[in-house]
Amino acid sequence: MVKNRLLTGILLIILGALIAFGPITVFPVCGVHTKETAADSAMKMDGHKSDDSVHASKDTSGMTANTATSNKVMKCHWTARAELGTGLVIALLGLLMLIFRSAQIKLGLSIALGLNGILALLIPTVLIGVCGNVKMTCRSLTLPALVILASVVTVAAAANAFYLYHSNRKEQVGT
Amino acid sequence: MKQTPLTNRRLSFYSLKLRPFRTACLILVVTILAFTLFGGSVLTASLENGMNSMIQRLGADLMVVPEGYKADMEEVLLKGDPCHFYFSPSIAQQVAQIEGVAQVTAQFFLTSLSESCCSAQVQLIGFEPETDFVIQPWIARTYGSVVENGVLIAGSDIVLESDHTLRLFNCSYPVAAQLEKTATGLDSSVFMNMDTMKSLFASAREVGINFLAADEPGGSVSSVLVKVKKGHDPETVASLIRNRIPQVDVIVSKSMITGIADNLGSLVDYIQMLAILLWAIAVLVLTAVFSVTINERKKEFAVLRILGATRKRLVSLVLTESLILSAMGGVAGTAAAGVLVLPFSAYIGERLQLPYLQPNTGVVLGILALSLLLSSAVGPLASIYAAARISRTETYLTMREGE
Repeated sequence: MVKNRLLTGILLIILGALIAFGPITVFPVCGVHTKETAADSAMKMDGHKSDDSVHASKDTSGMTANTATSNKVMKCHWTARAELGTGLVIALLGLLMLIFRSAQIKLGLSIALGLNGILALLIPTVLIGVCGNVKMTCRSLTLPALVILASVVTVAAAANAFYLYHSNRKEQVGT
Repeated sequence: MKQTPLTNRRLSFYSLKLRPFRTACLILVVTILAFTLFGGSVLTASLENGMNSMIQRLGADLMVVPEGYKADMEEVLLKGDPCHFYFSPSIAQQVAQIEGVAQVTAQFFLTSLSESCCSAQVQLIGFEPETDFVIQPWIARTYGSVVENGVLIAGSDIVLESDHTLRLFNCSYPVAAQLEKTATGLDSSVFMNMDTMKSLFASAREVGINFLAADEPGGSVSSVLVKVKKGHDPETVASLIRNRIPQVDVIVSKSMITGIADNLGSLVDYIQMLAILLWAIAVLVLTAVFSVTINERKKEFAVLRILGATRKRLVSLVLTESLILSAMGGVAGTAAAGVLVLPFSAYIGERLQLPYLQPNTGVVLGILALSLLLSSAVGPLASIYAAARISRTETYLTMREGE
């Protein structure tokens, strides 16, 4: 019982910390993008060759000196902020799991953890989302990482709640 | 009290539970093996799939671009990094006259602005429907009819607006079809015919983008794609083009693919060697561990013999125990590999900088079944010797041992 409490508590603290800080450290979101504003843009051609038949121009960024830019906060930035809160709550609930010995309290904490896990899963997939472009790290790295971590939290919390509920019932029948 | 029969499976579970550290270590060995087998196989299959897709999609034998823009063109094709460069359309006619050239078509490149959320800049490619032999056969796989004026065809990685349109240079254009994934830079490109490109170009001017007077569809082209006649060497035709037409670079598709295939080949070889090595190590480790533990458990098996277990039953017991161990390790390893390799495929492809195209579900399931089979077979294979030895042992002598 003590081993189970320790294992579940530590696992959930680690998972909560990863959900909270992962999107800003290990698997970062793109955050603030610099966006070119179309109205003010002007494509400046450079590298022109004097030859009549070949006049190549290279401008990999598309825009140069005359380009006006603006900072736009992307969806993934808000997802990271929301996950910071949710992850910290999960880690805190995991810590409480280590402190409390009562099976009833731990059952309640497990249910809360499961619901927070679902919330952590819904934030990047439904509620806020991440950037659409598949090449953005928030989509290729942060999204799958958060989905996996949140799913593990939900499944671990549900399994723990199930285990606690059944062992509690057995104890009640025994007495 | 409820009585339960002492089956082989139950006995094996008890035995494994009694030695938790040994059980955990053996499961870990098989887990690592299964992880490498499944993860490595999916990775290898994805790289090979990506390479095949790239060979199919490049279409042209040669690509003629303005001098100094060879690397940029390769970036467009391999990574989808937006770029534009122009030269005279008369180059296409000059190329067509060179011996060994069967077909010629020109393309016009433009780079979009990053207008909607995170869509970033995309490569816009205009093609000539009358001469094109590269884009249209590929489009035909997902879009049956001809690409009309004002209509776009989007690569698989392009994020469309909710009403199935794309907003480019402050104008919305309907997207007729989205192409299947190819693992090339063309996945993040948008295709259209030259007339649509002209109207897009006009929109670009309207939003304030300045171009040279000559740099417009019709007045210039970005690349000339060449199909070489059968029996002619693309390298020879490429040198003829370089010699006769000044200030152009020629990309030979075969050479470009060979370079990538070499990198890919060494990576695939490395993964396969690692998988074979790990499989051999797993068999050796398990064989050694089973031999040692069977020696330690001689008396346990002798007691089972006294209780009425046949020699066959003892063999079956050892094999069941090893099968349970390796099956558990196999499931854990493939699950871990599945969780790490499948959802992160886009990121892995991006990091490898190689064409990476995950195979379809059927192939992945096939690889999963094979990996599970191979990793589950490790345990029973490794314990055959130990099982045979224990079945030959004389019970009486074993019990008297050490007296």
